[in-house]
Amino acid sequence: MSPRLAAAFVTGLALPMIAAMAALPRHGSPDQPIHTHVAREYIESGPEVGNLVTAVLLDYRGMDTFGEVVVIFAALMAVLVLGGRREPATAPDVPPSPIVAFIVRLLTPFIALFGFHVILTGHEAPGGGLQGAAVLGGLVLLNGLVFGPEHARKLLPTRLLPSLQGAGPLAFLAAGMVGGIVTGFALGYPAHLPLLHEAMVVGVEVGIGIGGALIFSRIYLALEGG
Amino acid sequence: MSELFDLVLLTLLILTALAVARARNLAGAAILFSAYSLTLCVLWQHRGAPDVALTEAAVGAGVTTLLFLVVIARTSR
Repeated sequence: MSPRLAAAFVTGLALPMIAAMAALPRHGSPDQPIHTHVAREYIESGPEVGNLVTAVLLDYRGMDTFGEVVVIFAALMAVLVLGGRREPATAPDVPPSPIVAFIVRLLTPFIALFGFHVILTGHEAPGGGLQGAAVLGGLVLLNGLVFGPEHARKLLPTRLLPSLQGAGPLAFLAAGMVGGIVTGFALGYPAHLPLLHEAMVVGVEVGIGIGGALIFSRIYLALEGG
Repeated sequence: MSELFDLVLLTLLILTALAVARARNLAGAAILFSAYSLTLCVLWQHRGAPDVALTEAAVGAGVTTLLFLVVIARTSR
């Protein structure tokens, strides 16, 4: 495609989109439907979870979130089936700069703590399983990038790794079945049993967090030939 | 004031996006893309979406950038 044709195509796509954006109600305007009906319904009759975003993700859209967790797991399966490099990579050819190595060593425990914090407080504050998983997975990738994949592998629980990789979908499935037994609906949360409700939400978040972090790390290791 | 802050961030967002598209060096493009994600992260936070901001910072600026760097390091030799 010639550049001129491409530019005309993109402009032709963008103009209706911009026109539609201009016709939308003003951001934050109190009289648009989402504020007069949808948001009020969620806030007034929502479940007893501190963070409304988590409530919507795990409760109203529980099935969607379950699908997303399975998609991340499927991504790992795809990477493992395709296989990475045949010859395993060893330590990086160039030794890490002492400044970078020191900073990464210094920050590793704090980043790990923050990751677990984000996972465990996800139902009360901004954050949650996937965000914490990305923080923890990013930490493993950072260590691998600076010190080599062998060092990153040492951060992972070798023996439990294969079974923990599926922790996200499994935790979700378990919570869905418990909810099904208690409330009669799959993925239903018992509003009358606050302690069980909290345990289910935290269990799902921890499952997604730990499983997701290991999936991110495992994709990285597969790329490195592990 | 708040609108002005948004405007500055949006301008920066467009500039970093153009810089990513025009970058000759792949690793440089990955780092610029990370800057794009961080700008977007501040914008989300300022627009009152802390959950999305956290995801953008952790996934967009963190994991994706690192994965890009790993793949570039493994392919460009």
